[in-house]
Amino acid sequence: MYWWIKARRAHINIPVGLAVFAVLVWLFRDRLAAMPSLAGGNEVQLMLLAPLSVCAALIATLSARVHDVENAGTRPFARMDAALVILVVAAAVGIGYGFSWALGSGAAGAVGRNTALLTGFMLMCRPLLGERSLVIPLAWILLVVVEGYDGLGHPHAWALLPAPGMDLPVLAVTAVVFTTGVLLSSRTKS
Amino acid sequence: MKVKALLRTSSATFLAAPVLVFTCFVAYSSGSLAQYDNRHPPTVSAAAYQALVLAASAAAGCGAWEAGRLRQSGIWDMASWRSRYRIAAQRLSLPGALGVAVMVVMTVMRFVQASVIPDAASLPAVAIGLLLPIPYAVMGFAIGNVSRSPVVCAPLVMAGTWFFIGFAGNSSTDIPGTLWLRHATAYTMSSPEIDQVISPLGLLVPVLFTCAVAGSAMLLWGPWRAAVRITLAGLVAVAGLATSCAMTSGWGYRTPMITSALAEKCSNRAGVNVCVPELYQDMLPRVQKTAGPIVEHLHRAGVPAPEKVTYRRLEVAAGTEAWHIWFLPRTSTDELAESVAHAPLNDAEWSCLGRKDFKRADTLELWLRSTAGLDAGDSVSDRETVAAVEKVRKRPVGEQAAWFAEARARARSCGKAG
Repeated sequence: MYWWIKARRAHINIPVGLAVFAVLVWLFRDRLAAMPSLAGGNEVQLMLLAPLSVCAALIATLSARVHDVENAGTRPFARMDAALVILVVAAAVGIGYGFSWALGSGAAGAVGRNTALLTGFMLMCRPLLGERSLVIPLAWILLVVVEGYDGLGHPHAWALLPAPGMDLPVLAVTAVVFTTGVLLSSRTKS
Repeated sequence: MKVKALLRTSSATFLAAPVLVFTCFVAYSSGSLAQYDNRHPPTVSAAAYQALVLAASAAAGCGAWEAGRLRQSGIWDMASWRSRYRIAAQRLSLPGALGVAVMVVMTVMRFVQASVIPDAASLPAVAIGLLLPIPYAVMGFAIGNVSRSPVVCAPLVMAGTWFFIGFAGNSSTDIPGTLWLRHATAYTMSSPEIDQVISPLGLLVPVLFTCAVAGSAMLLWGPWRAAVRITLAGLVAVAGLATSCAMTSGWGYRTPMITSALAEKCSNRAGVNVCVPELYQDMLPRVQKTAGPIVEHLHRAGVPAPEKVTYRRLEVAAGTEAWHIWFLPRTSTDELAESVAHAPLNDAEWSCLGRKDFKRADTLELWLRSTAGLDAGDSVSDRETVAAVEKVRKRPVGEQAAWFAEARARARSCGKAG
């Protein structure tokens, strides 16, 4: 276990990723920023960016494989990877709800769910793209920024990320995407 | 490195088409034309800064990618044979050019949409806007240099730059001590009015901020001992950031402007004296034709006739009773008429009355509109306000004049009683 953590650099990547995530959640709260968009310029939640730090930490960790050792199959590395992903996302959800409770921020309440959703998307594409699958959450965030809101600033239903934290349909989609992502990713050896 | 090889291997080449197409879409669809449709070139050049977030993040992301690739390939460590500055300049030429191209596209589209030709007053803002993405490319390169994986680093740098500029431009106002970042990033550059140009200091601060950060990163690549490099880099960064922070310490939310007196053009015809800025002299007949009947209608109902109806930014001699109106070249006649009907009280007086007696302000506004002969059907006033206005309008002219005078006196009382 110790060598697995060291080889994956999980002892560096994960704490740094979660610390950056916590700082961003604390800083962004419910703040909005005017961004260029195709709907005529919108104010979007800065909090949309925060999950990217967790996604980056996870993909950097999962991609640091020691192929020969792991292919030998003496340890259940796929299950260990899946457990790591679930633990890190659970920590992000906890940080989000913690700040939401402490700061009264609605966006912080949704950031944990968004982290799970974007991580799920990223892991679903990992068998195909490998380490490059980080561009999937980034692309989704930028897509929401530029096209996720109508001209009046209301988010489209497909955008998912701006939905309130306890929105049941989005929570259901998140659960499906995250579970599928973890399952697909645990079968990949990239 | 040959240009062909550079083009073939640079990330900027692959990103150029989608980024430039997206910039065109944003330029076409975003922002109200009214924000820069005033025929004043400095306003149009400031409107092009909206693309800075795109240009800077594309340049920084590509810069990070190039640095990561150089590091992975070992070329970056060939410093004994080739200067790192030369290597960086070669690899950063295309990311920098991509950022500049985004700003060029946005600037050209804004000037075309506003049908305005750049003048000497607008050129400094245009030139600075075109140059600003280059330091961001250097910053991205510096971050990519210390990252292990360009695949992870480049998207993060791109998104981080995007959100940093958006955050600094918008949210720095509610975090104490960070307002200077709004001016330092220049993304939310304020629009100059037609008698204003952006102050040279307003343009210098973003250059100073970005160049200080980029310059300090570049000093770290020098061929000197580590202690010398780190000290020099730290000094440049601290000096640049402290200077830009100190320069902006007295600034408010808006970018500082230099204001100069506007030349005016007044009507010679009999009736109410109407003046417009020389820039809008072709609109004078329309303004005269719209304002004349409204002033007459209001005067008949007891509103004192002004000596002059003039544009909001034009100066008026002390003691002259003037109504200030506002319009743009493409303002419709209906909107122009509304502006005239709103003019018996100036902005400060409307604001004062609204704070002191909101219902009275609402009633007065509707009374002015309906007395001026404007369609009050689309007014958002409630039934109670409409009834109150109808009641006032049924009174004799003398009583209506007294009612208006009382409302105006109340609107002017803020200056005296706070």
